[in-house]
Amino acid sequence: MDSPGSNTSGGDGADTGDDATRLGLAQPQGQSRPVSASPHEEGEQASSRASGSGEFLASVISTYPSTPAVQYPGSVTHKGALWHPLKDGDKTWTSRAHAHQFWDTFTGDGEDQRGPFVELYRVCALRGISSCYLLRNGKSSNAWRHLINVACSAAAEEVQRRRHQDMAKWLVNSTRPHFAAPGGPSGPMDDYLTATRSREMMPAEARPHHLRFVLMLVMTMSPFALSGSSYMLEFARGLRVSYDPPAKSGFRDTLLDLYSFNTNRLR
Amino acid sequence: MRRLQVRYRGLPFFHLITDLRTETLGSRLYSSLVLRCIDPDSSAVAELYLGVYPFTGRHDSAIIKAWAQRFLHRYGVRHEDVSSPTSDARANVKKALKNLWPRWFPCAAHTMHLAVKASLSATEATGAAARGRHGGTSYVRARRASRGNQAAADILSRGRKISNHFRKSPESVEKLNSVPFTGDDAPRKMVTETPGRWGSTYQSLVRFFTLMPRLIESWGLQDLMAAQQQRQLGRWDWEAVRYLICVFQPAYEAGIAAESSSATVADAFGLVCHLRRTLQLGVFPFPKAVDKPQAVGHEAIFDFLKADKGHKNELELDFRLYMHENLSTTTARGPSGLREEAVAVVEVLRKEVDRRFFHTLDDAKNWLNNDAVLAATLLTPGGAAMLSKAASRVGQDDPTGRAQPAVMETASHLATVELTVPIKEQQLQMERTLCRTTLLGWDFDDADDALAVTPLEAGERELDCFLATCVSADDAVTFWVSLAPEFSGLHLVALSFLGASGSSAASERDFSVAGLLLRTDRSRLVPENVEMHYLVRFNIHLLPADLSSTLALSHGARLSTRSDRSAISVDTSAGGGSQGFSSGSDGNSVFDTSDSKQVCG
Repeated sequence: MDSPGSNTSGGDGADTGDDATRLGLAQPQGQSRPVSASPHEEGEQASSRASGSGEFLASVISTYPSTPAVQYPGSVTHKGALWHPLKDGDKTWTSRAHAHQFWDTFTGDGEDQRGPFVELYRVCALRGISSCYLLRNGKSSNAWRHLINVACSAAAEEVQRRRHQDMAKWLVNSTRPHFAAPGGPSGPMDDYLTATRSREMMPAEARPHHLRFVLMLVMTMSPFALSGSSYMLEFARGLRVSYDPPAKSGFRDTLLDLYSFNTNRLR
Repeated sequence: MRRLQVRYRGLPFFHLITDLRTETLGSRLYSSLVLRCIDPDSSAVAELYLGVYPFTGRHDSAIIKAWAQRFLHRYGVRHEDVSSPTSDARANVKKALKNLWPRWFPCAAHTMHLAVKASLSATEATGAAARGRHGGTSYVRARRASRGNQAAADILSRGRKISNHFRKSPESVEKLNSVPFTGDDAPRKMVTETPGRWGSTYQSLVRFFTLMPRLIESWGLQDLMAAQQQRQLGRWDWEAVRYLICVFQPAYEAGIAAESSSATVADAFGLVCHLRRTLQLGVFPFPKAVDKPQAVGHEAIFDFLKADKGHKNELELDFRLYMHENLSTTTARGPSGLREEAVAVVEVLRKEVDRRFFHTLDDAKNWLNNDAVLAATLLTPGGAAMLSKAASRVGQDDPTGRAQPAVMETASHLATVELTVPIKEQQLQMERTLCRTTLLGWDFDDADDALAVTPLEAGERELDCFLATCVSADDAVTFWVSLAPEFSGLHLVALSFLGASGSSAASERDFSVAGLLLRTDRSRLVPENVEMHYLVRFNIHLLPADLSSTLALSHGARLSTRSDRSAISVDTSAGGGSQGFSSGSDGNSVFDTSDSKQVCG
């Protein structure tokens, strides 16, 4: 639930926040709440502290609003792997019923997907926004920390929550458009995003694609903002490729690399 | 750059092309730098586009000079690597470049265009007066008439208005194309003059002429408003269009050829001589038939010429072949001779060409006094004869005596370097051949002693041999590359001179592309990104096919690169918005956007 710049919590939090991944298009899907307890329960103590705030939070976000924006997707992609929502009765990492109002749990079939879970947070859905993170080895301390300190805390001020919502909204819009909104994301926050918006590809894997993408923009005289255009991203999704164009700062760095290469060749 | 520096062995071989442009609506100034040379290994013209850069600081010659030096230093270009620069005649740029490299010469295409512009504003009879004599309606406003608006300028102005009408009215274009015209009934549009495109005036006139039958018919068909009726051209006006086409065509052809990326400065000088000779002779082909062309389109033209068996009395205009006759400026005026406005255009063009290319008092405007032009022309097969002839025709001394020292002065920079293995083997083979023969060459002189000859003396001998034996060749660069073994030193000197272009068209091409990038909807584009954008775009061929091999810079290296780029600034100035480019703000600005003076040459 953290923004790329706000992931300062130590321990698991560093893993969790840094692994922000993107949402697929929200698809309505029936799913019951998982009930079994998880051996990775780390946030139980914290959740007990927060349980008293559950009603408060529920009063804020209501109960599972059925707008398309907050319905969890049929699957999410992370690092090239597909993650599916847990079926009814599957084992999950928490048995705290009230938490189910705030996140959904995803798992994968691959060997490398056994440990981690992908969590879809609906707690930031106050304005129809969801965001999604990876919990490595199912550790949830950062998730609980967020739940306690920001989302569900009666001590959290409205301004604090609103800022968090804005950040989550920006993040979701910046990663993959849920709506066919004209224009796409733009604003000062984009300048702080120096890497690709998702981790579907590792930086080394994405670099050749970034280079070709930047060259395409240069040779066609296209605006650099095309890299964040919702239509551009939808086009890439339509090709069923796991690629996100670079953000603005990353774009400038890639262009600088090409510029530096050509300058050296000219000398 | 380093490879070329090694290859040229100390010779100044780069030709610098530069220009400055101000944004159309903003105040930011951008500069373009292109280095041009002949690559001795591939015998091809190498144009190194160093990009379009924001120019900061005052626009005086000292700042421009410092900027050019720093900029070239960034790419490892030494001062002594540059042989000659070219730019338009903008005073500040000219002064800066002449201080750095005295062999500066003005852009030939730009200069020709200025001559055409001058010829259009110097005809003596006003359009109103001319039509008044022939009973036509006066379309010239009193204000223009009082300014002495000339007949040719008036015809162009009226043609421009008609073109603009069709440009803005698709319905009129549709009506025009609906007029039946047997043999040439394809839909066509008028060509509108574009201030930034040299030669568009001529192209517009030609299109106007080839559409004349349809225009006359369409004016008869339509229910015209009073303003449109005023724009109609009478028979006398159509005649003027034909005359103007035939007198403008030589300047148009020369200007277009000079803009070619493969044209050398010697080619440009040859074009100037061709143009001058054509104007001096004063005989121009004049399309006879105005109703229907002989052939339309490539294939039909070829078929017609095949059937015509080379009688050569046709003139091609806008992919249409017309019968023509030659008219002379010396023929008596009237129905059988050139119209007075056309004659006036020719007379002014003659004076302008002499004044701008062969000025006897101003060396900067005399190509026969420019070492770069002289040396390149001298080293072009047949160039020496052209120099002598051209000088005699303009009444100046034979410049060959000045051209040879210019060549040798450059040759004196030729360093003796360690030969590469293949060249060494080649040289050994030649020495062995000499060891196996006792025959002397037919031109052997008793004083010849190969062992005592210095490189400079060898160069002089090669130059003498070249001037005595080589009188013609299709392409000078190919000629010198093919004779590299025979003229081991002189061929490099020749290539270093032939790398010079006669025009600054390369910079114009830079700005043409820049205008596509710096537009209203991209006004937030920062200058640093513009710089990177252009360097990558114009040097895309330098990137490897596998882009993965381009290294990603570290954070520190990126900071350092950005810092190096900002260090090019020599002064500070405020930036402005950005939207396209305008031509320079100097007195030589070619285009005036006002309707009455819009002349595109």
